[in-house]
Amino acid sequence: MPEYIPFATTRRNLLRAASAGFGHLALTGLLGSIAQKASAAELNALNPLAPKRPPLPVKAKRVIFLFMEGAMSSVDTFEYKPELGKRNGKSGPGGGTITPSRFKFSQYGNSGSWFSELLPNIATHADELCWLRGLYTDTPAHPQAVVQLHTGSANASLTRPSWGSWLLYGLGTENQDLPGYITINPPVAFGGASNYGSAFLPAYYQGTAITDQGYMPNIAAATARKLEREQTDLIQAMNHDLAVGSGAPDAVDGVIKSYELAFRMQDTVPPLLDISKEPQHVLDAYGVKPGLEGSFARQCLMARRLSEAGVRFVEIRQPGWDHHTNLHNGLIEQSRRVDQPTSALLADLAQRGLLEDTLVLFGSEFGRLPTSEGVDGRDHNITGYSMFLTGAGVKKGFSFGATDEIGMAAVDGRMHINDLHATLLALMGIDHERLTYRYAGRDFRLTNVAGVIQQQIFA
Amino acid sequence: MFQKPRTLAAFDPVMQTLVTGRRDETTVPSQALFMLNSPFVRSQSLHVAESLLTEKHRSDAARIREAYQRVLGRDPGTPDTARVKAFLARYSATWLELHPAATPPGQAHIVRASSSSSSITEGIVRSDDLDQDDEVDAEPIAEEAAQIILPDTGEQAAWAAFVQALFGSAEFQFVR
Repeated sequence: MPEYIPFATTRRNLLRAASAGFGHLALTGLLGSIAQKASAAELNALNPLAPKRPPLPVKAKRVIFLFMEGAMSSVDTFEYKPELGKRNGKSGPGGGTITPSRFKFSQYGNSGSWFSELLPNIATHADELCWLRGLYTDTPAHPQAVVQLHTGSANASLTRPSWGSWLLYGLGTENQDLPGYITINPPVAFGGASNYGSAFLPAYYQGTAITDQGYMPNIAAATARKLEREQTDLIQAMNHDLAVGSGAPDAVDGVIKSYELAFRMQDTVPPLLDISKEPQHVLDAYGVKPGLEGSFARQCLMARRLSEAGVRFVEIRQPGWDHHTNLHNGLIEQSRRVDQPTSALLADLAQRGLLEDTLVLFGSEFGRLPTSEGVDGRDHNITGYSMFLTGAGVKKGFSFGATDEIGMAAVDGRMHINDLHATLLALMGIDHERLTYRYAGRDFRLTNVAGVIQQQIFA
Repeated sequence: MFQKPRTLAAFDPVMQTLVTGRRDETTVPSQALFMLNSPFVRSQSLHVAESLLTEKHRSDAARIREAYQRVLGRDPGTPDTARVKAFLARYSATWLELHPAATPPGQAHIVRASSSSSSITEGIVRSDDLDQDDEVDAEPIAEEAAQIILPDTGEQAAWAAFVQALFGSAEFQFVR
C-alpha cells in the first residue's frame, strides 16, 4: 500500500459516485429534495416490475380469479342435465348410481343459460358470462389438481411458478406503489404457498398473501410517521455509504429502492384493504358481514378495490366445496356465501367501467360426479367440468364446449388446464409459447409443452 | 413435515421441492417492511439496546462501537459515530414530543395485541372439512401473534431504533 494516494478512490468508485448510481437517485427522491420524475426512466429501466408492452393485442389488463376450492358440483349449480332425471338410480358409466340434482333449474337472460336455484344472483348476469363447459384435468386429488390449476403442472417434484407470477413476469405491474399480485385468503393446504409462489422465477414475482380480514404481514407502521422517517433516513444513509464504497454488493441499489417503496406502501396498502369506509349500500350489496359467513363478500369487495387500484392479478378463495358428504345442505350454505358477493362484484366492476379491461374467472380445480357417493355426496370428477369467464376480451352470454348428457365427461370443446392457461395468457396479450424462463438448463413455460388457445371465446 | 423458518419468508427461502443450485437474492419491499415493522426484529433490537444501556457509565461512542461490532462485526468510522449520535439526539427528542407521558421505566414493553390478533386469526380458520385422504400442508399467514414493542424511554427508543437500523442496513443483509 503506498502512503500517498493522489486520488483517494478507485476508478470503480469514481464512476459509481460520478454517475451517482441508481441508489443516489432513489435516496434523493426519498429525502424529498429532487423531483422524482427525472429518474422515472431510470427507475423503469432497472425495475423488473415496470409495466411491459406484451407482444399480442391486449384484451385484458387485469385478472380477478374467484377460486372455489374443493370442487363445486357443476350438475347441481349451472350444468342442467335433464338426462340425469331419466336415468335416476341406474348404474353410471364408471360405477355408482346416477343421481339427479335435487335443486330446481331455470333459464335466465336472452342467452337462456340454465342455473339452479342455488345461484339466483349470479344467474342475473347470464348474458354477460362466457362458459367453458368442456374442461378436464389430470389428477383427481385436490393437492395435485389445485397446484396444477395454479401452476400448470401437477408434478410435485418440480414446483412451477403460479400463473399470477408468470403474468407479472410478462407484464409487470401498473401501480408501482402496490404489489402486482395479491392473493386473499390463499390455500393453506393443497400445495399452500406453491399456489401463489414464483418457484424458479425471481421472488418479486410471487403473490402477496393477505387474510380475508385485509391483514398483510408487517404493513402497519410500527412507530409514528416522523420517527420512522428519521429511522429510514439513517438506514438509507448507511446504505448510501455502502453503495459508493468499494466492493459494494450489486443489490444495494435494490435495497435502497425497496425501502423507498416499502415506506410508500405503508401509506397506500392499509387504506386500500380497509373496506369499513365503504358506503353502507355497497357493504349491503356485497353482503359484507364479520366472520366466516361474510368472508367471501369481504374478499370480493377487497378484490374490486385492489383491481381498481391497478393490481394486475387478484385471487380470492372460498374453500369448502368438497362435498363427499352433506352435499345438499353444504351446497346451500356454500352457495349462499358466494352467490350474492360474486354478483355484486360483477355489477360493481361493470358500473365502474372496470370490466372493460378486467378479466374475471370463476371456478374450481375439478368437478363432481353425476353419480352419488354414500347417501348425500358426490365424488371428484376430472373428466368434465365448467368454469366461467366474464369481462375483458371474452364473448358475452356465450357457452363453449360441453360434457355428455349426464355431465360425466367433456365431449365437445375440450380444454385441458394448459389450454385454459394458454387462452388466459392470450387474452392478456401474451404468447404462451414465447413467455419462457430459463431454469436448470431449460426454457420453462406456464403451459409446459402443450396449450391450445381457444380463440372461439374471444369477443 | 419440515417447516421453513417463517421469519425468513421474505428472504427467498428455497422451495423444498426444488433443486436449487443458486439461491435467489431478491430485494423486495416486503423485506424492508419486515425489517421496519416485524415484532421479531423490533423486539431483538430492543433487547440489544437494553444491554447496551445496562452499564450507566459508558460513553455513547463506546456503546455505538459495541453495537457496530455486534451487528456488523466492525468498528464504526468517525462519520458513522457522529451520524448515529445526531440520530439518537433527534430521535429521542421526537419520541418525547410524541410520548409526553412516557411509561415508567421497567414496565413490560412487549405487549401482545390480543384484540387485533383474534380478528387476524379468525380470517384464516378453515371452513372446509378436509377429507382424511387430503394432504394438509398448512402455512398460515398471520399466525405470529401481533406484538407491540413499546420502549420505556426516549433514550431506549432511540437506541432500539438505531440497532434496528443496523439490522435493516444492506451491510447487515449482504455478506461480502
